[in-house]
Amino acid sequence: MANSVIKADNLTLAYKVDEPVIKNSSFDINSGSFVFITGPSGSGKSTLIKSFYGALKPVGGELVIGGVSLHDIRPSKLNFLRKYLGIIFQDYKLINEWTIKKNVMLPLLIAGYSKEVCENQAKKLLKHVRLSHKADRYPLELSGGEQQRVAMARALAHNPVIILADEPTGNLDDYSSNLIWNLLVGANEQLGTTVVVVTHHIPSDIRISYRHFHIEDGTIYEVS
Amino acid sequence: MKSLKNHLSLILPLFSIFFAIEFYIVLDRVIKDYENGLREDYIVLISADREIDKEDLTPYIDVESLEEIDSKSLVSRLEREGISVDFESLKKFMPRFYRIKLEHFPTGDELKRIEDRLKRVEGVKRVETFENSHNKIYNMLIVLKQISKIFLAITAIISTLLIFKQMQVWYLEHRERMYIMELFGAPLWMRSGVLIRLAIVDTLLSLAALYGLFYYLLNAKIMQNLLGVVSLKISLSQIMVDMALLGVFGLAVTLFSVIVVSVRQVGQ
Repeated sequence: MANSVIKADNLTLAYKVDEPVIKNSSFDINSGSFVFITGPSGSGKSTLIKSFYGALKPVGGELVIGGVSLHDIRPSKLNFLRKYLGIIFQDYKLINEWTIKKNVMLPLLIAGYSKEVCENQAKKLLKHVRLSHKADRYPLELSGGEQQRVAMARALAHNPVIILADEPTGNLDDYSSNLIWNLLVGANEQLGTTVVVVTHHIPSDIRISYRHFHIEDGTIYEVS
Repeated sequence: MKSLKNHLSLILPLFSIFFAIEFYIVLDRVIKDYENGLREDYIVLISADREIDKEDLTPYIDVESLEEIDSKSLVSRLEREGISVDFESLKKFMPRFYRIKLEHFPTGDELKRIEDRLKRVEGVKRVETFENSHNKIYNMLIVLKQISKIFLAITAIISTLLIFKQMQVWYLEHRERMYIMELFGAPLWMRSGVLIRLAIVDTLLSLAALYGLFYYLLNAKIMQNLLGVVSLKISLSQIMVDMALLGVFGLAVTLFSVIVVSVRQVGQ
């Protein structure tokens, strides 16, 4: 039986204590799963994924990621946990003062790999996302689709246990969208990485078995 | 260009505060040396109708030395001016004169107290403190000290404000980068790495600039002439020691600022 890597028990998330975004929800996600989380705008999809990487702490219930409870997690432990996560943001969150290559190297530098190892891995990943020729450019010199491909490469750089993707293909061209879906599926199938994707629409042509959670009125349902 | 601006915006306030502190330290040292010189030269004269020794005075004032003035020398001075004097008969009526050297250079108020107390000593008839010339010199020293204190205070306030402004600039410039690094699990020291390097380099550059300025000033002919007039010496080795202390102080200030900025960013 697969291990649970994300487990929520009566989870309540809120920005203001008396206005919960997610209410008393329980679910668990096993290691190696591919999960879609859908829901209308403002339903709390991004809030939920934020809580997975510890940017928002639960106000009620319990949330355990990789065996670590996020309720009263210390900053040093949160940093440790985040080293095992690959995060893709809707707004890319690339460091604009750094080159593309250095951006991809970031998780590896944090993990303490040598510069040479980081550079080789970054080059390999940039080749995967078809951006080798732009390795020394800066994020603002790239299109939105290219920036998201860089963010994808960065999320994969350190072979994370879990990839969390928040609307990874929103507003992207077909070429970049397909490339990103292929990489996410590839990471899940070939490396056994758990992938959690928040999206408005599940691509119709995706060829992988997945679980689907839907958020409505603050409650999370599993869609069978 | 942006990088130069980034450095200058920290180097300038640091340099100003270092300069103000070093200027104050040097001036204080010069004033102390000058005070010591004055103390060496400064004496209080008393006349008494009996023999006085140091123990008679110590209950009243802090005396470094007490020396009786040979009355013969006073009489010979009169003789040099053409006044014939019968020393032996004059000696019977003449008071004894003493030269008192004090342990420290007194303030104007202290001088008045010393005069009053000396007058209370049994046998002391007259006290001459040369109050007017003393006060002129002493007031000049006080004015110099006060000016340097005001200068230090103003510079410290302006520099502190500039450092606060720089902290705000750092926060705005580096917040996004530090947040992204935090999301990928970078520890605080790694997120602040750029700022820590900037703080160390800029502190060292400010100190180098300050040393250069003092080296130039102390070797400038005009400054050497000026110090020569008042028989004062300022050693560069002493300034090097000051620089080391200022370096520690500067690093403490800048690294503290970096920590404040980094901690303020957490979770932003």
